[in-house]
Order: sequence, then structure tokens, then C-alpha cells
Amino acid sequence: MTLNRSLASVNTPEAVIPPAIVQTPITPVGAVTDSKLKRLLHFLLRWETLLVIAILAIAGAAHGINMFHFPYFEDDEGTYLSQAWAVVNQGRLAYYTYWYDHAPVGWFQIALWTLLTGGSHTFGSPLYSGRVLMLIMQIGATWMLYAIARKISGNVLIALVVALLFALSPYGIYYHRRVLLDNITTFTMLLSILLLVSKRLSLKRVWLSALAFSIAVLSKEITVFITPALLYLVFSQTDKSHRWLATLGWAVLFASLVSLYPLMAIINNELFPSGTWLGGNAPHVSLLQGVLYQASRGHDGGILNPNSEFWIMTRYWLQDDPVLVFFGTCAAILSVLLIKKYRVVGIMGLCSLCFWLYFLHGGEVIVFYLVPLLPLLALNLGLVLGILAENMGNFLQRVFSLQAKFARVLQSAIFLLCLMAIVIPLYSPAFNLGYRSSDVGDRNNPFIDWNGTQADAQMMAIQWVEEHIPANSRIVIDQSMWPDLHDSGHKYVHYYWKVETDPAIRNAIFHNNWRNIDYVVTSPQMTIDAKESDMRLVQSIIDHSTIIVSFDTGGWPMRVRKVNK
Amino acid sequence: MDTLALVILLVSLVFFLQSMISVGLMLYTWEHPERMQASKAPSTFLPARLSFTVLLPARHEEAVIYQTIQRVWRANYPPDLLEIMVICHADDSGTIAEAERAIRATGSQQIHVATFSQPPINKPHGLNVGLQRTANQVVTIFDAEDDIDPDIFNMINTVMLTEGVGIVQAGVQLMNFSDHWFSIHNCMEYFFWFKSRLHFHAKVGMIPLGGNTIFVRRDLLERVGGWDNQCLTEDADIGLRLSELGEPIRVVYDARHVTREETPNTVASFVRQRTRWNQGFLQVLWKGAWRGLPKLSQRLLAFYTLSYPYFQAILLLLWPFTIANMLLLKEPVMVTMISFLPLYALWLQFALTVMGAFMFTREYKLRFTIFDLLGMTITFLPYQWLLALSATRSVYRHLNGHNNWEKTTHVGAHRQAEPALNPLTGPLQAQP
Repeated sequence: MTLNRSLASVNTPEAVIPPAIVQTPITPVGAVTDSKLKRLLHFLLRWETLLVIAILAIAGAAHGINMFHFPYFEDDEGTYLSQAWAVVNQGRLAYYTYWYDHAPVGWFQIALWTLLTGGSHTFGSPLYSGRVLMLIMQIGATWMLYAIARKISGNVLIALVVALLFALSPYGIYYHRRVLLDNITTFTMLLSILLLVSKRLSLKRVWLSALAFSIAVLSKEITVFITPALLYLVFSQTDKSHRWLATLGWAVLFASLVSLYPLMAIINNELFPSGTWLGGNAPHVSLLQGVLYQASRGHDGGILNPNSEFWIMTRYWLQDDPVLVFFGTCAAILSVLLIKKYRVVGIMGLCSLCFWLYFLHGGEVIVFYLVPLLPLLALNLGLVLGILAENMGNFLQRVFSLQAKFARVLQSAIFLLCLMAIVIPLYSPAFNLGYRSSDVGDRNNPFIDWNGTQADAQMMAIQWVEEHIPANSRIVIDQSMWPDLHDSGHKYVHYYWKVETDPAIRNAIFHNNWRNIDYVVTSPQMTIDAKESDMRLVQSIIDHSTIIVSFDTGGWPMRVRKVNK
Repeated sequence: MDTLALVILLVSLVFFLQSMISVGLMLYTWEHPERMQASKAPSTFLPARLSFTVLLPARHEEAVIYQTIQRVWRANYPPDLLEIMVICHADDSGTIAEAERAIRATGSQQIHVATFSQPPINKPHGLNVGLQRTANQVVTIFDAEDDIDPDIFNMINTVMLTEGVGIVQAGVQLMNFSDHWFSIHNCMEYFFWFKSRLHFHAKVGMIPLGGNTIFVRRDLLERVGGWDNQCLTEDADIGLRLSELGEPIRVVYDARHVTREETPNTVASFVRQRTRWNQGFLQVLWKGAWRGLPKLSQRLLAFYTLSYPYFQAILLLLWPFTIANMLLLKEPVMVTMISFLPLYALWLQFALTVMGAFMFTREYKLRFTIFDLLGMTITFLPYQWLLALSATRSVYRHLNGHNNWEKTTHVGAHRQAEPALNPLTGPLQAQP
């Protein structure tokens, strides 16, 4: 055996290592070596935690206090709760035939919530349980919005203002309470943005963001419009070494996850409409039909037509939250103009403008479409005011040769002054805006969110029906009554839209004849829809009935009517 | 839920998980920029200090051995620190003659040909023979068709000295991606393997080493007792035994310093090569040495890596089964959807491989045309079937005890006309 020299003899001190080769360990951002500075940082971090808890408490209180009594329960809330019920109890996507109006991931989350809280009656009515979920999502969304603003601006004051603008928005408090898919989608949408705004992105976060965003889109499709902006965000936030991989990977992962929805339709043979070559001849619902239906609703010229739904809704929105809708949108436009210098701020502006572009293109615009846009507008406003304050502050500091440490105070002062200049005039009693708007508030009672009792009439009607009407009666209802009535044994209650338009209900059960119905409980929504949408069967049911009891605790009267056979 | 549904569910989930782990491993290096940086080679070199033994096992390599010896000899490293040993079986007169011709041409005292005549006639036996007859500090292996980088020894010298590691696996890359329909996929396998997956293995401490461009300190090799003469993948096997030592292992992938190789030149030879690798893995799996690895994570990774042939053999049988399931059997929607998950994983693998092709061609300054992309798309699934075929063949051979070494022929397809081959490291020294 020959010589067996090992490496040990080689590692003598004289083996000089040139500095270029040794990989200097990368010091984490903000690494501090001075212990006094470390303690100060520690204290500040603790202080900020308390602040965040305070913000969340405010958000929780503003949303949560009186949330079971105001606003009234909309029929959509009953629909989503009934669909969640069907998922849990029947293993089906919906109680009525699922017609691909929305992807089901939104009510999957409600179903999950029901399972986690031990059933839908843990808080009383399932409607209450749904609203508690909305409260939790709202608190979560507020926290995420704070974190997003904090990461982008690096400034606690800006983040605080953004979070409060969102949490205390008059439009927000009104609509966030309702069990709407829009609230559910906002939660995961904000999560997907939050995951992308940290400064040193890892691939894992990019994938998680794509996952969160696909959940958002499958909860309510409207969020899909910010996809280009998010792709740009991935591209701009990732390091050159993995930029294309991250961006294309995000797109591929997102598309793959969303494709599970059409895959499900294919497996059910419900992708193509019946009557087509690929769809077969048996009558069935189809995904494509659902999509085409949504795309075809209400084309009316959009921004170019002063009487379009876009303008009607925008006028309402300007009344409901003038600060965010007007100034937030201006901020969004300004952000995009500043995108070269403030990249991420600009991308957040792009997200808002993506939503606006969809609204103004001339399709249907429903009043709660603003929900996912609202936090983005708050973000835009806060960030842009911060940029303005920073620049103005720096300018004044140079002009008046002030010391550096006053710069921050000056900037904060300018920021707050601008904010107050916007908010205070708009909410003065002279204008009927925000809490005083006729739409989401009350001219004479700006605290109606917290003392209104509008929804009580619905609970009273439900209770009355449970106590006085036999369980096997056939009742036509507004769907918000369904979760309670169905669970209490009334198996023959049906939603008026299904009674009118679903052959499985209209023909198979009621044989297209008003005499086969025993009672009808009308809500203002039902009576309006019956007239405006020419619902002949439902109208005939109402016409052939008399009121036996009526409940009205705040402008949403519920009338129990008995059909005269 | 009936039994069939349950079986479909479990099988689908297992394969989905297994494929997603594979996708995750392919992405490992790109996770953060720091990790990418750490996977590369140093940019400047230390003065040469370590001595290297180069083992060149060769069998029927008359076409390529001459050039290979020349290239190793012309590496940018002090000749007195390099020792080259070509190892052939005694009856391989053609290769021996070419090797001796090369030695005469260089006029060096440091290059020798060693022969052996005992069975088994395979690579590990040759390597053990070469190991015994040489003496330098760091042992490395090159294959007869390899195109090594002239600075490879400088690079390894630097890495070993600065980082104090005794085991370094440097990158091997197949280059002829447009020669055959399967070449691009083969190249991509190597790309992801050496650029990403091996680095994860090194981090966990369980690594199947490559068959060449591997640099190991002599004392470590002696400690594990050299290579296993009976094993078809002696490299994976020795990698496992070296992992057990608990020594740190460094993997370096740098486009400037990779060893360039060629893909097998026919489908048949590809299948034979792949069968050998799969069968070797199964041999190492059943040998059980991996159970001696200290940490659970290492044992799990070893099991996952070595049992891959079984998975691959069954994986693509799932494909027609899933389609048939959807069209014919009427399982609950949820079960059917889950049975599609392995296909999704396969799709993600495809997307990642395509992105890899762009990264690869950009890194090596090659052209990747739209036709290349189309070809790659069309041949992706056939390639998977080819892998599955090889895996099935390996399982069959393993069960029936056919352990002979099916040799791959090399024609030097990736070598171009002299002089310049490696555009990244500049022209080679003048030819004689």
C-alpha cells in the first residue's frame, strides 16, 4: 500500500484564503449589534403588537356590535348557508340543483366553519353562525391589511390609518356583516397579496400565494381580474435568480388549481350545455351555460352611458363611503402614475384599477361588488398620502433647514392633516354621506349600525312560523328563512326564485299551480322581484293570499300570508 | 365508500404525494437566491495544493479514450499533482492500444494503464483495481466519454480547502439535447438532478453519488472499503456508505465547470442504461445498508430515492386506468377528482421541465427554438413511458436475478471538430 497522506497536513495556517472566495454570511436585514438599540427595538415591537391588538379590537367592535340585528338578512345569505348545509349533510354542492352560478369553494369554507364550531346552531340561528364567521374574517382581513400596508410602507402610522379606514368604512360595516361570497373571497385575496409583499420572497411563499388566490377566485370569480397585477407583483418582488420560474410557476399553479372546477363539471358531464354535440340531449345544467349567462347579464354601455348600472352603483358607492371610493380611487390612479418610482404601491393601484375596469365595461354591477375593492382603496389612499407627506416633509425640511429627527414628525403631521382634511368635511352632518347615507346608514341616526333592529322582524317571522304553522305546510319563502325553518322540521319550504324558475320545484312539486301552496312569507325583496322580474306564479300566490301577521322592526317588513284556496 | 373507491383514493394520494415531492426536489435550489449562490463554484481559485488521482475505467472505448486522456492531461493543474490511471480488462486490446498511444503522445510519466483479468467485468471492479494501484490524496473518476472542464481540479482544490470537505460531487451535464427525441428530457433530468436535487440530498446527508466527476479523499474511500463489485450502480451504493460516515458532502453545479456527456444514442441503449440504474437502485435498496443511516430523515430519503423504480413502473399504468375510471366506472365525484391528482402532478412536472429547458439553454448559451419546444411537448409522455418501461424491466430482471452489466456504447457525439469545444472556458491549449 502506497503513501496515505490525508488532507489534515494541508490545512496549515499558511493556506491563505483570499477574501473573495469566503462566502460572507448574509446578515439579516436590520441585524443589530448594539444591545441598547436591540432593547429599544424590542420595546417598539411590543408597543406595535399592542397597537395591532387595539386596532383589531376596534374592528371587531365596529363590525360585531349589533351584527345580528342590522342589516337585514338578505336571501343570498340563506342561499349560501343552505348550500353549506347541503355539503355537510347531503354530500351535495347545493340543496337545489347546483347550476354553476358560482364555484363552490366559498360555501365549502362556511361548511368547514360549521364543522369546526360544532354545527350551525352553536350561535343560535345558522344565520348568526354565518355572521360570526364574517366577523372573524373581517378581523383577519383587517389584520392582513395592516400587515400589507406595514410591509409596503415600513410605517406604523400609515398601516394604522389604512386598517382603520377599512374597519370603520360605512359601506364596509354594512356589507361585511352579511354572509356573502364577496367577504369570503376578500379574505384569501388579501392573504395572497400579503404573501407576496415581503421583501425577500422565497418560492414557497409564491406557491402559497397562488394557492390562496385560487381559493379566492373559486370563492367568487370577480377577484380573477387582479390576476395580471398579481403576476406583475410576483415578477417584481422576486430575485433575478428565480424570477421567471416564480412568475410562470405562480401562473401554472393558479391555473391548475382553478381548473379543478371545470374538471368537476366534466366528471359530472355538465361542462357543455345539453343540446350540443358534446353535451348530450338529456336536459341538464352546465358550467358553460352558467358562465355565458353571467357574461351576458345586463350590457348597457358601462361608463359611457350615464344611466348604466355602473353609474347607478357608483353613485351609491360614493354616498356610502366617499373617502375610499373617491379619494381612494384618485390615489389608485396616482399610484399607477408613480409606479416607476414606487413599484409595489403602483401595483396595488393597478389591482384597484383592474376592478374598476371590470365594473365600467358595461356588464352587470351589483351593489356588493365593491367589497373586494374596498381594502385595496384604503391601501391606495394610505400609501399615496404617505408618499405625498414624505415628499412634502422632505421638501419643507430642506427649505427650512430643519434637523433630520424632525423630518419624521413633520411627515406624520402632514399625513394626518391631509387625512383629516379629507375625512372630516365629508362626514359632517350637512351631507348625507357615509353613516348618514340613505343606503347603508340613516340620515337622522348615524349609529344605526349599532342600534338598528331591522333584522329582528325576520327572526320574529321565523319564530312565528315555527310555532304556529304545521311542519308539513308548503311555504314559499325568502331564502334567508330557509336554514332555520328547514332545521326545525319544515321540509316543504321553498325559495321563491326556485318556485318560479326551477322545473324540479315548480312542476314536479307544485305542478305549476298556486293552489298547491299553503303559505307565503313575503319580504320586500320578494314583492319587488315578483313585479320587476314578471314572476307570474309567485305573484299569483301572493295575490291569492291574505296577511295573517306582519313584523316590521326597522324598514324590512315580513308578512306571513295564508293562501286562500 | 366501497373498497374499489378506497383503493383508488389511497393509490392516487400516494402517487400524488410521491410526484409532488419530486417536483419539490426539482425546485430546491431556486428557493432563495442564497441557496442558488451556494450551489455554484467559487469564482477565483486557490493555488494548487491537493494531489489528484484520476481513475478512467474503460471498456471498448477505442473511439473516445484517446481524446479523453488528452483532455484530462491538458487540465490547468500542475502535472506533478495529477496521476491518471486507465483501467481496462485484459482482453480489451483495442482500448488498451488507444490508451497507450495517448500516453506516448503526451510523454507523461504520470499516466498508466492498469488491467485486470478476474471476473466480474464491470466498472466497480475496475475502480477498486485502480484505487489500489494509485496513491494521490483525492480520488476522482471520469468516464471514457466525458468532456471535462480544464479548471475542474482547480475548482475542487479550492472548494476542498476553503470548506474543508472531503467529498465533492461536481456537475455532469448532457449536452446533445436535440440529437434524439428523448435527448432533451434526458438532459433535463441531469440538469435538475445536479443543479437541485443532489443539493437537497447533500443537506440531508444521504446522497446517491454520480458515476463520475466525483471527488473523494482517499482515506474516506478506504474507510468504506472501496466499491461494491457486484453492484450495478456502484456510485449510488458508495454514496450511501459515505453518507453513513457522517462526513459533510458538497455538491457543485456550475455551468463553467460541468463535465459534458452525451445521451445514449438509441432508444435501446437508453433503456438498457436506465434499466441498469434502476436495477442498481433496487439492489442497494434490498441490500439494506441504508437502514444504518443515523437520522430518520436520511432513511426516509434513502427509501424514497431507492424505491423510485417501483413507483415509476406502476405510475403510468395509472393513466389509462384513471381515464377508464372516469368514463366507465362511476365512482363518487370526489374520488374521481382525487384520482386525477397524479396527472396534475405530472403536468406540473412537465411545466417545470419546460421552464428548465429555457433556463438550461440560456445558461449554456444554446438555442432553444419553438420546434424544440413543440418536440419536447409531444415527447414528454413517451419519455415517461420509456422510463416506466425501463423501471418495469429492471424490476423483472431484479426478480429473476439477471445482474450482468449491459454496457452503453459511446461515440463521442457531443464532441465537435477541434480545437474549441467549451465556449465558456475559452479555447483549449494547442493540439499537437
